[in-house]
Amino acid sequence: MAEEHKIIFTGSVGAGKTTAIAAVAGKNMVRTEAVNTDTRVAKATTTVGFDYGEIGLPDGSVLRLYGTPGQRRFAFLWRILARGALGLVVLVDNSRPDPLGDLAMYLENFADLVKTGAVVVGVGRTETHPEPSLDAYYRFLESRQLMLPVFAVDVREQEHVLMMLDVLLNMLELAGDEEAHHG
Amino acid sequence: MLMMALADGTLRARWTLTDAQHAHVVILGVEALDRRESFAADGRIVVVLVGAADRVPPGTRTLTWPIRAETLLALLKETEGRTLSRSSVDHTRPLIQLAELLRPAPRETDSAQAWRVTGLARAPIYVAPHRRQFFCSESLRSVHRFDARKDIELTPLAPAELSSVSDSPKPLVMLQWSVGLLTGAYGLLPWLDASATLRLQRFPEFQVLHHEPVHRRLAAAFSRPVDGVDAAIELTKLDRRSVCSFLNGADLCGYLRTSAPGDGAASAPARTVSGSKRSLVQLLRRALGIEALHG
Repeated sequence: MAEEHKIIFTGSVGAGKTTAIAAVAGKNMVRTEAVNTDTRVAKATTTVGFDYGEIGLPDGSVLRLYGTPGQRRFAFLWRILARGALGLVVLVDNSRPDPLGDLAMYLENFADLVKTGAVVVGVGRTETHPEPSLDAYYRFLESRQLMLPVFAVDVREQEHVLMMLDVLLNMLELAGDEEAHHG
Repeated sequence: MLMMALADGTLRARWTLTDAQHAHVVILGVEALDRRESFAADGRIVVVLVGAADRVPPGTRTLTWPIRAETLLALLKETEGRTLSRSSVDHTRPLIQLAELLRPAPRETDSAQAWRVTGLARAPIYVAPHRRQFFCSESLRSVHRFDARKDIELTPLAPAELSSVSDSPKPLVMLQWSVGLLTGAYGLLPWLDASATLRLQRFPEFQVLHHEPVHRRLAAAFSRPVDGVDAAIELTKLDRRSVCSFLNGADLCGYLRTSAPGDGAASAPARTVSGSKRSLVQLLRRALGIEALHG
């Protein structure tokens, strides 16, 4: 079996995980969407398993992009997907009632990945919902002794997704070979 | 136009091939030996290129052909040490003054003073630090093409004059970042210590700031403490100018946190990156189509 490298996209329902993966994986993507029955979320379908995009590498190995289902009840699946992952992209929907609480929940559930420092936070819908501001996100992270990149993004823009992945890869590389996180 | 690059990260200046009248260092062929003194009269460093069989007067400074890269670099660094500090301070004093003006001010010293900046772009730039805004009728692209040898003029403005400016306001951070990048050609800003422990307290807003992929790399590097500029160059494999530009931009935007050299609480052990890890990341960049961004 070909060697695999994993990058995980997580975040709340409707934050754009499926869209972000599609932006870079294109046709090489499997979606597991079903009719959304959660009336609190204004979208027709939602991911019930996980999204999966695959990109072949020149050396025969494979880069796999996994999008987790957003609902907390799938936390058991998040931990399975995170095993051996290189990095994590957390997408936060700023129009939700408690975006910082959402971020806290994902950082706690992916604590092992967060320790490596290879994590990027993308905040969506900031044009219509500017609060909490990016400054508030940084203050929140600092209160947890974390320094992670936070970007206002529109994941429908491939350029935004690639920018996050570029930063993520740089974080991964420049963390050095000893991956202990210095807060 | 023919162009030559000096691929060395330890040079402080951006070296350009020019005519002898404008050069800081002149390398003469031995056949032009008699012109040596006329070039040296203006304080230039003049070196004569000689072969093993050539004879020159005693005291003539020579470079032996073929030139070794290390010898040429030593000559350029000596020239930088002798002339860059004097000439760059002269040329860049207004730029540094502008940088000082754009530094994030402590809240208690906030002033409502506004400024008109001419010479940096084709159109005047109006700066209102207390409003965190600037006004300019053209794109900041022209600022990125600014020639530091040109004059910049800073003029204080009365509040009424600022209110008559019809240009749309833009976030000051865009100008702070751009001016910071410009000053990197002359090293770190005077108030930054190259040996200090440096780290970001937040990432630059790359969605709104004109930036290059090297800036993303540097942001990632400085997301953890780095002990000085040299350590950053070693870690990122980028040149000094890029590192200084980034740090100056980050400082003016208020993103940078510095600690005194040797501060045990802030310093971090040097990070090493194995070749296999660099290779893997390069492979992933290529697969994602990001590689082109990194040249």
